[in-house]
Amino acid sequence: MGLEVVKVLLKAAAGGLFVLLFAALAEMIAPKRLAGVFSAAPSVALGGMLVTAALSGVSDVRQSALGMTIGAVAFVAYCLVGVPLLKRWGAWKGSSAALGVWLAVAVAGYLVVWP
Amino acid sequence: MTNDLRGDHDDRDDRDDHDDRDDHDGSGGDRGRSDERRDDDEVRLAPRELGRTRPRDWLIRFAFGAGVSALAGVVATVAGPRFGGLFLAFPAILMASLTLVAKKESVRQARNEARGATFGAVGLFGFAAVTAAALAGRWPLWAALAAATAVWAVLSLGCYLLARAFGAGGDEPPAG
Repeated sequence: MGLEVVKVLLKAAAGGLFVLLFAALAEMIAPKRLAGVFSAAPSVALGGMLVTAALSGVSDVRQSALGMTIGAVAFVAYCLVGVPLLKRWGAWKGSSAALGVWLAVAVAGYLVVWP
Repeated sequence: MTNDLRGDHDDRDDRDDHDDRDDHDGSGGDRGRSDERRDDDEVRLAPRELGRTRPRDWLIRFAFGAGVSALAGVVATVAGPRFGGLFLAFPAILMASLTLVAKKESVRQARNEARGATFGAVGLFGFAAVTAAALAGRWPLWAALAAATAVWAVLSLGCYLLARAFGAGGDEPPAG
């Protein structure tokens, strides 16, 4: 249990740092559409996979990468749906509503690929 | 400013224009205004923008990143690494960024960022697929992650450049 908590805390710290790194790149870049590319950078994945490899082994990293392929498809759906929702409902409500789309596509895709 | 962040439906287009003209919280309006005057399609790198970002905004991004990473870690512990992997592509960071950009600049700019994130998300798929394939081929972890990151960059920036070549790489012009 203690090791699991340490793992989660290390993943949180590593993920947060990678997010800052890519966010700094995005801040410096224009136009906004190009900067947006870095808002979908593999920051959380890099942090999480490095910690997973160190503490759980490479096999778990491969499994998480397989799951991530479905999450990435759902991320594309989030962006495609998010643009009109932002226009309709504004930033907070629109992006929150798009999260529901991400969740639906991610779970449905997971169940289709690995029933 | 709270209304800007939450984005009520009725005043959305007015707010776009309003935010492009005014700086309610005094934190980023100059940047927004200077950006508006430039060519929307011009690619540029401005390190000085880093100094204009408030420490609070960095903290929010770190907190979102740490939170999503912790969520992915907990889900992986409870439901297994493959299901936890879904959350390695959870768009909470983008969500944080969109609300910050909408607050600091405008909802229109947030939409531009979301459009760009679509290209990055396509790259994320490549990142995950290459990582899985390389590790299945017994590549060392560092080589697998390096190759996957390179594929993310090539795919996402390639998609952006392709869109740009077809005239869709610039930002949405201000209304009116």
